[in-house]
Order: sequence, then structure tokens, then C-alpha cells
Amino acid sequence: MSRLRALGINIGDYLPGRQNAITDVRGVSVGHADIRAANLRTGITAVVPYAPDIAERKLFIGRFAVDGGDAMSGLGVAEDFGTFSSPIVLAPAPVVGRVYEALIRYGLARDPGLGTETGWPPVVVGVDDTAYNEPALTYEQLTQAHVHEALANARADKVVMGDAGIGGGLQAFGYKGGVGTASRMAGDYTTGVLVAVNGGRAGALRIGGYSLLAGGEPDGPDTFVAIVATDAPLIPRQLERLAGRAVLGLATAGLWGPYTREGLVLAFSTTGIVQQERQGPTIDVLSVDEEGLYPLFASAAFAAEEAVLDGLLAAGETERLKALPQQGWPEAVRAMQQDAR
Amino acid sequence: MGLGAAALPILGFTGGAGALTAERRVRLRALGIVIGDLQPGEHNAITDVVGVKVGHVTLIKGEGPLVEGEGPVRTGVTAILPHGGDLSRSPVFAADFTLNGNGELTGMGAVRRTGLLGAPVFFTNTSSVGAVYDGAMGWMLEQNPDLFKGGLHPEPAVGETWAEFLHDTTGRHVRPEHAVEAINAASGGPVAEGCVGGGTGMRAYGFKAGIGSASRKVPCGDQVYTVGTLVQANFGRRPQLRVDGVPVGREITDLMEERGGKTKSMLAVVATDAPLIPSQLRRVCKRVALGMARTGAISTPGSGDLVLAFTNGNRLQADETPAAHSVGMLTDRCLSSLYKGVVEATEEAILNSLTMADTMVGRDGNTIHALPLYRLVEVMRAHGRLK
Repeated sequence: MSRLRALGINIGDYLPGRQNAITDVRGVSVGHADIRAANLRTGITAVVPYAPDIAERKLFIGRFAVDGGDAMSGLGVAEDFGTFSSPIVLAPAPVVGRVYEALIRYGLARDPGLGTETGWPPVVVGVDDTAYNEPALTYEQLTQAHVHEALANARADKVVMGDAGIGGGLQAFGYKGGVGTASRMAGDYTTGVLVAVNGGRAGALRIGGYSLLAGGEPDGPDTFVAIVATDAPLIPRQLERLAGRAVLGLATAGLWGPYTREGLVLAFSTTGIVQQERQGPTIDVLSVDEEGLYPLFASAAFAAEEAVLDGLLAAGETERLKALPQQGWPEAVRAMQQDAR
Repeated sequence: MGLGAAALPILGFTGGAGALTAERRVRLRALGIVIGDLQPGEHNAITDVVGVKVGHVTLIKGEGPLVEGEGPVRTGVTAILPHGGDLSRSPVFAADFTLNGNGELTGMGAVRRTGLLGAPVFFTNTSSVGAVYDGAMGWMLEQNPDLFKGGLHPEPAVGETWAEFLHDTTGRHVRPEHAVEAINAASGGPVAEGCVGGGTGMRAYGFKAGIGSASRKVPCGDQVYTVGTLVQANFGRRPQLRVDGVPVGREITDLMEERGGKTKSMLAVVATDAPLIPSQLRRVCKRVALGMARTGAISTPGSGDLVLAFTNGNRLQADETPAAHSVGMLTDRCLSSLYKGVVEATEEAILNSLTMADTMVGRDGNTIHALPLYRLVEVMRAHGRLK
């Protein structure tokens, strides 16, 4: 399995971070739990936005909802305050409630000394993986223990892509879908994106801007989720804008297209008000100036686009759906990119 | 506490109780009616937020039948400046909120995009938004010819309410130069209220209204912040009116508008020196609705109830090399105190617009009566609020 970059294909500007993953943003870790059973291939992916030793974990967040796609818990606080303080967990839609409960218990077990509002509300995003999984079976088989497993597995270096975690039951462009990730470094800051590559019509895939493939089976659930992390100090409104720019990358790859039902992009900064001493009436936070935002916006777009493609490349074959074939088109795309220079 | 009977000399009566001619207009607090329990700032006005300036241009001309294009004229422009420097190069954090959207507050592009307000705010009448924007834009380009070269692209914030009941709305009476005149007239200190500026032809709860303002000092920890509201009140029906909870509108049922017409809208601008970021300012905007509700309004479908809030407590320089700058934000505990200040100041500002407005006769003899202050005091006393 090759990543897009290893095939000699570049997306956009700026260089990726060391892992070319969302974990290149320092402090961010990703963990998966895979659930496999008869007629069931699903899982949970947890994005943990802070290192384990951070006590006061309030971070800034911004949302971009595609066609009103706001199916997440923690919406009230994210929308009104622009903050969150929980792992972001991607889970199949039928078990959002169970995952929410597991995160509450996780928070309480972890931090008995902290107030109940720390780590509250849990941020759980429901993902439609009915291309592979019957909701009733998912509901029956996925447990709170799977949530704890994903959190315990969280790693700050390499991110397993493809069929891992929530990627198990995803489909895109008529191929097996999955989890994808990529990152970009612009100036002093690193921005990384993780995408649940799910949706997009057969034939809508664009690789490096080129439409080369007719695609496999017709269309399954057409909803996606993307998470953007940055170590740039951005305040909530700026993160809303960053989320909106990342979705451009998803559109360039074809994941957000004319037939998309809904999608959600969450963007957070690992700076913000983590570990603030709350003695005075005010807290000081850093905010990037307006002109400094645009390289970050572009970073998010390029990383998002590459994450989609790497997620497809990492997906494995299944009986139901093939993985994206890796013959022919890499050479053609390389040639076209060469011509364009 | 309360002046009650002692208010009579303040109101400047001539003759006995049944023979009042024109009551002298005074602010709510001078009648002994106190809203909330936070202390007001020195002038009990939005200008108590240091740096904020307010200026009015008032256009009153002619009487009698409406002759479109000629008059009668009952309108104006009110300008609110977040500070006296170059706003486009030194913008302030801001946010807006639409409580009910049947109105216009043009110029929210940069505010919504960047959370920054780099221009003055104007209140006027509905058909004059374009003229005021035009005049303001000319002024802004003169201040900063590079206005469109930076990333901000500020726009003047121009809000409106409907003055047609008294004013020749289709006549082009507000001209671009009036916006500049209002800017040049802007100053700190006491704020003129009632039938002035953009509020000249406005009414609320069936009484003459217009511009009103109030402020509160908000202590938090070892700091004291100031928050002030300025409203252009043009909304509500008589039975709804409450003054500090007392159903005054159900007890003063005469002195109604002598013909029909619809009341419409409220514009509010909130200023503070407390350091807030735009997401916090959006939350502050929503509390204005609670202050408005305390005076009885329900924000009807036909209203344009629009709010803009800014802080000049986080100063940003737009022309330095891009970097990350430190900005302050209030903790939630202090934000809670600030909310209280916003609600009280909004409630009081609306009531000031009523107590300070004079009876006005406009086009076709349409008349909007001033809230009779002597009777207001009587009602408050009857409800046990004043001695």
C-alpha cells in the first residue's frame, strides 16, 4: 500500500509533517477500535486533542456544517462558546448514545479530582456506515468497552489508515472507503486533517484534479466527517473559517459533491486556553492576525484533499467493494502534473 | 427610595395636575426609577466606555400634509464610533445578532468574516441606509486611501428603523454628507436622547421614543469594566409596556397614536471595555434581547431587531506584519456579571428613549404622544415602587 506522495503525486503547496498525519500536530493522538463479527465490520476512531498530562483541557473549536450536517454531541458548547474539552470520537450512528456514556465514564474515571464540566460534553460524531453494517447489529455488538479500547490505543505518532476504526464500514466513489489523514507545515504552524472517507458518487473522484476512473458500485451513504487540528493559535471564529477551508479540499477530491447529503468538519487548535491559571478576571490567548490565516487555510485544504486520497489508497479489498485500483492512473497523473509545471 | 411627589418640580409643571402643558423631559433615573442594582457609569450612557463617541444629526422641517420629496421631515443620523482613532487601521472585536430579521444592518461582512469592526456604526431611517453608507464610505476612504488593500475590507455598519408614520420616507432628505456631519459631531460625555438623530421619528409602545442609552459598571475581581448600550427604539404595542416590571402600558391606555401604523424595530449597539473575543461578543448580543423583553416586547415577525456589540478593550493593529497577538477574554464568571450589565443597561436605555422623547406631530398631522411622566410616577407609586 502506497501513499499518494510515494507515488510521486503532490497535492497543493507546503510540505507535510513527519508522519503526514493529523498527529504531526503536537499533542494530538489517534486511536482505533476495530469490531469484526459475522456480517459486521465497523469500529470507533478517537481523536484525542491533548496530551494525557494536561489537566485543564478547554480548547477552541469551529464547525463547518455541509448542508446543515451538525450530527454531533457537544454542539451547544461548540457553537455558542467555541470550546470543547473531550476527545472527538467518530462512531457509527446507532451507538452515539452509548459512546457518549462511555466518554462520561472515561472522563470521571480519569479525573476524579476535576469538576464534572471538565471533559463535558463529550463530542461524538455519528457516521453512516450502513454500506456494510446493519444498524441493529451494530447497536447490538458495539460496546462501551470498544470506546475505552480506542482511547487506550491512541498514539501520537503513526495513524493507521484505511479500514481501521470507523473506517471499517465506509465506502466512497464506489470503492472501499476508510480513514485518511495528511498534514502540512506552513510557516511556524502545522495543520493536520483526518477524514472519514465516506460518500462521493462513482466517477466523482478527482486525483490531483484529474478525473480518471469510472468507479465501482453505485452509491452508498453520502456523508463525511473531517477533523482538522492545528497548533496555530486560532480563536473560535477563525477555526470556523479553517473548517470551511478544509472542506474545499474535500470538494476538490470529489468527496463533497453536488449529491452529497451532509458533512461535518470540526477544526480545533491545540493552543487556546489549555492549562490557564484562572486567578484574574481575564485569560490571555494568542490569535493569529488576519493575513496570517491564509497559509493556514490553504494548508487545511491541501491536507484534506490528500487525506481523502490516502484513505482510499489504504483501504483493503472486501467482498462487497474493491479498493481503489493503483495501476495506470498514477503514471497519468504524474505526467499531467509534470506538463502543468 | 424614589422621588415620587418630589418629581413634580423636576418635571417642570405649570398649573395644577389637570392643566399640564408640556412636561420637561428627564431620564428615568431622575424620576427615582432604578433598573437593576449595578451602578451606572458617570453619564449613564454608552460613552462611559472610554473612547466611545456618539453624534447626532437631526432633521426636522415642515408640517402638515405629506408632499413626497418635500416633507414633513422627521429623521436624522446617529453615529457611534468605537474610538476616535482610525478604525480601519485599528479595528475592534465585534459580533452581531439577529433577534428578528425584518430589518437592515448593512455592513456586517467584515464583522461576520473576521470578528472585526473597522468602521463607525450608524442608525437612521429605513430609506436612508444607502445615503448614510455612501457618506460614511467616502469619509473612510479619505481617512485611509488604502482601505481596500488590506485583508479587512471594513464597511460602515448602517442600521435602520421605519419612520414613515411621521416622516416623508420617500423623500431623499438624508444625504451622504449627514453621515459625515454625525461623525464630526461625535463626542464623549452625555448622550442626547429621544427625538434626535436616527431616532427622531421613532416610537415605542405607542409613545414617542427614539434614541436611548445607559451604562453599567461591572466589577469582577480587582477590575471594574464598563458596558453601555445605545438603542434606537421603534417597537412594541402599548399594552406590553412594563417599567421595572410594572404594567404601565395597561394603566396609561390613552394618548395613543391618532391613526394606525405599525411599530417595527429595535437597533441596539453594545459597547464595553472588557476584553472579549468575537464568540463572546455574540453571546453578549443575545442578552440585549433579554433587556428588551423586560420592557415588554416580544420581537414580532415584522420587527427588525438587530444587535451589534463591540469591545475596545482588545486593541488590534491591522498594519503590523502578520503574527499572533495576545488578546484577553473574560472568564465565564465575569462574563456572567457583564451579562447582567447588558440586560440592565438595555432595559434602561429603552426606557430613557421614552422618558426623553417629546410629543411629535409629523406628516398629515400624525401625532405620537410622549409618555406622560407625571402619570408614570403615579402608576409606579400605586404599585408600591415609589413613595
